[in-house]
Amino acid sequence: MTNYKEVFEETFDYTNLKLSLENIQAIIGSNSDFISKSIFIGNNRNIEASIIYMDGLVNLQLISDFVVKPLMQAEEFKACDSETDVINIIEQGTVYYSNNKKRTAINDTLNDILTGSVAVLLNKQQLAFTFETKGFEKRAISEPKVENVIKGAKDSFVETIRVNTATCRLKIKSPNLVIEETKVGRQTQTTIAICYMKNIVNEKLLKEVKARLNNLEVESLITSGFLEEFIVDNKFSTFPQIQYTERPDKFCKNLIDGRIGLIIDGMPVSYIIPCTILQFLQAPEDYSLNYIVSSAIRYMRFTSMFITLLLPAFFVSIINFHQEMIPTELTFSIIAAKEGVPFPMFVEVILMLAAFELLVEAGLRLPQTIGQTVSIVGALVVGQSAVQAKLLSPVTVIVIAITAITGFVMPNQDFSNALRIWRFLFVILSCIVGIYGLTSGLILLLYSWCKMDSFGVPYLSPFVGGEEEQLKDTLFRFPLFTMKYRPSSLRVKNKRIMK
Amino acid sequence: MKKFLVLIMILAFLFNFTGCTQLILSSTEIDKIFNTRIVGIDKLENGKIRMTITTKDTKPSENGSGVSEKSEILVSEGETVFEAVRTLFESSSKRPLYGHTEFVIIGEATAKDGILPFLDFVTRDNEFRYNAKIYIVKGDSAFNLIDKLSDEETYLADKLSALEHNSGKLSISSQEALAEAMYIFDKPNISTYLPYIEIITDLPSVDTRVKSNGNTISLNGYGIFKADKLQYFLSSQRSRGINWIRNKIQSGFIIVKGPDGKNISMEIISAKTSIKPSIKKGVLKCSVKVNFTTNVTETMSRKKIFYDAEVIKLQQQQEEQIKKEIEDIISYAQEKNLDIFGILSNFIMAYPPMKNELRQNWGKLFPEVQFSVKVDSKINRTYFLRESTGIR
Repeated sequence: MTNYKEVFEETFDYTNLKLSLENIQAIIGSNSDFISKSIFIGNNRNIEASIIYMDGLVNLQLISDFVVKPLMQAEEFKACDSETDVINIIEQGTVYYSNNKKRTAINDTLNDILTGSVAVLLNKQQLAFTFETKGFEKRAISEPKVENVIKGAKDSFVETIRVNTATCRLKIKSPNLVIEETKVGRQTQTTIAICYMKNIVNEKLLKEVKARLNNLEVESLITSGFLEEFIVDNKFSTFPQIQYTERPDKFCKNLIDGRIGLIIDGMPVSYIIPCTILQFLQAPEDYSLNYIVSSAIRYMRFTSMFITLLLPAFFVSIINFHQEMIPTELTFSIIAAKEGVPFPMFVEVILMLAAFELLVEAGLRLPQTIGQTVSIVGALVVGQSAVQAKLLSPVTVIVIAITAITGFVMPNQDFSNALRIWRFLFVILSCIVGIYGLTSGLILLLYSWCKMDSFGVPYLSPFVGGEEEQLKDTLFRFPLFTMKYRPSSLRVKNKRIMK
Repeated sequence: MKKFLVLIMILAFLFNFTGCTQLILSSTEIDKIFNTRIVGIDKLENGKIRMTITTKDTKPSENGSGVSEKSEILVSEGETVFEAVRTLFESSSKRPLYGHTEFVIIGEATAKDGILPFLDFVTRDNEFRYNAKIYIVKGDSAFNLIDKLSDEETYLADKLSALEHNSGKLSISSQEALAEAMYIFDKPNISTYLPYIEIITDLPSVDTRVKSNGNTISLNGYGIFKADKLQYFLSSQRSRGINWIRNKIQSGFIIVKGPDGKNISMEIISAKTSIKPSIKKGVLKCSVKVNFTTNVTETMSRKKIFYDAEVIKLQQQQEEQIKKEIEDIISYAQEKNLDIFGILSNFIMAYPPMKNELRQNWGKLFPEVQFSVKVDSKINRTYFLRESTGIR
């Protein structure tokens, strides 16, 4: 299925070594969390075994009660004369532990030890039994931090992959839900779970996703960039091409729609493939509210996208080039507000945009306890004082404030960030050639959107490609009972959702 | 990426065709523009043209909480309107912008000389709006009007906007946009009418807020043109007559007499006029049918008026008044041979094959058109009261 073995072997090339305590100690024995100790099985001094584990990854109670105690005290083991007897008895299940494996290769043994198992090594036989005794500290499932909803589930993904896959299983209790695992990262050996519905998913898409994951030539997969930037199609685009979510319900909904989900060990977010621009404008709440209400909100969100993208540029172009487009009375107000401000309008706009970006960035970096300082400095210094000192006109402040607020309406931060970059480009084009510059910028943006695709699905889908059915969930959200088909751009096996 | 660069190059290349000759130079800071709202054009006795433009000079007030406004006027002269426009740059530190021009005002003397030569620049220049309104100043020049009505309290454009907004309450005037006026000026045989502004200097009790330098203005009716030359000023009653025929009545009042001869005020609520031209046996006939509805807004009569016979009498009275108004303006127009109602267009639309004949002979035909006026009305409501207080 995967070629991770090649990667694995390249990294840990110990296949020629025999499985022995000495060799294991030589490889990982210098670590402070490496624990190995000898026991005599059934108190028989002739049968010596080593208990090996990494401290912190295992539950010591489990090891003592269910592994060491039976090995030392069980009557069956006391009767053993040789190590071969011990092996037989363990294989028969006397050490009653549900998840144990018999290992003869040093690679497998090391891998088990490093993922939280305890190994019972019979040195002379060059054989080990590993028992999964994972017991490291994990975070409890908490409320989503970013994608909050009022009506809806309050759970979110955590850093532990097994907890996350279990959460999905609880939501989709279907035998068709497939969770396959693969390992990525030469050093980190991070587990990625590929989740899909086998009765729905497009096989070609699945094959492509697996191929891309297998071809990932990365050292580590500790931050999401290593995955996103390596598997997306358009590597030079500012727009996100893979969607993340911290909500299991949203994740599962997408699996059922025919998309493929990736859960990465150590990350409290999951990824959804493929993704289109529409998904960045849909929020989980949309489907729990009344469809008329959520249609209004959705429409507002689309409008907000254009406002946050275009408002500063449009403002600069009409103020500097097309003053006749402003309503007369408003012109007088703007002139009065601009009176005495030394900077040209576009400089004001760019200064304010830069100040706003700095405030956002500072707000992210500051510890929560002193985080309020930013808002006070932002509101008083940038807002009030700059206007009173005649460094900025109040109109600019209002325009940038509207831009900022509408930017925060975007449900996806990556998408919002991309809009922020393009916004700057538009302002610069507008201050050079007015509306013509703005239009040119828009054409460039539209062109880049049209060019993009995500795993073969057009980025602008369903606005391109004649997917009338999917248009029901775009600018307005139609009632759920009218949405009878899955997105046709996904080419799924089972297109119909309901009769 | 290569295609992206090609697209950028195409867009840059296309820019050459936009007509923007001055790229960054055409950018003007908004506080460096003179935002013209009124343009006044006068022809001086020495043959030169005087251009007066005015804007509202807005500055943040001293305490920073509000905005102080005052009128700012620029005047220039030249052989042509364009010369005057360009000469304005000599005296102004700001760039005059005509995109917000709401009112084009022409002095009486200039209008009598023919206004089209002065409007050529206004209609040709790309900055002027075609929905700017044209007004004639009765008995004075545009410069004087702007000068007399501009001080720290009043801004002529605001005042004019307010008057325009209220003009429907009386329906004795209306707004004539530049585009509409030019359209009619372009038609031979039809006469244009433009609303006139009258400066009123002797109103002792007028509210100081609307009175500037001791003056105020009013819109009292129309000035009638023959070709592009101003001929006559109409009284407010005759101007309303035009509005009846032109279907421009929004509201207004009619005063009728009660059984005891006391006044009763009627408010016009809705009005509709239809004109049907016909040619029978070589005679041009035109029937004007007016339907309107009124409400009783006030009665000074101390008699009962709301019974069938009396209501019919009141209706007849108001119908007669309106009929008289309409017949009066029709006979006036026929007497002066000025087709201010655009009746020619109605005939042409009804008899397209006779288009050329009608156009060529309209000067002779119009005074001979037999008009028949029919007015129907209905009294609808009486607001809060039926009979006045104290009448049983």
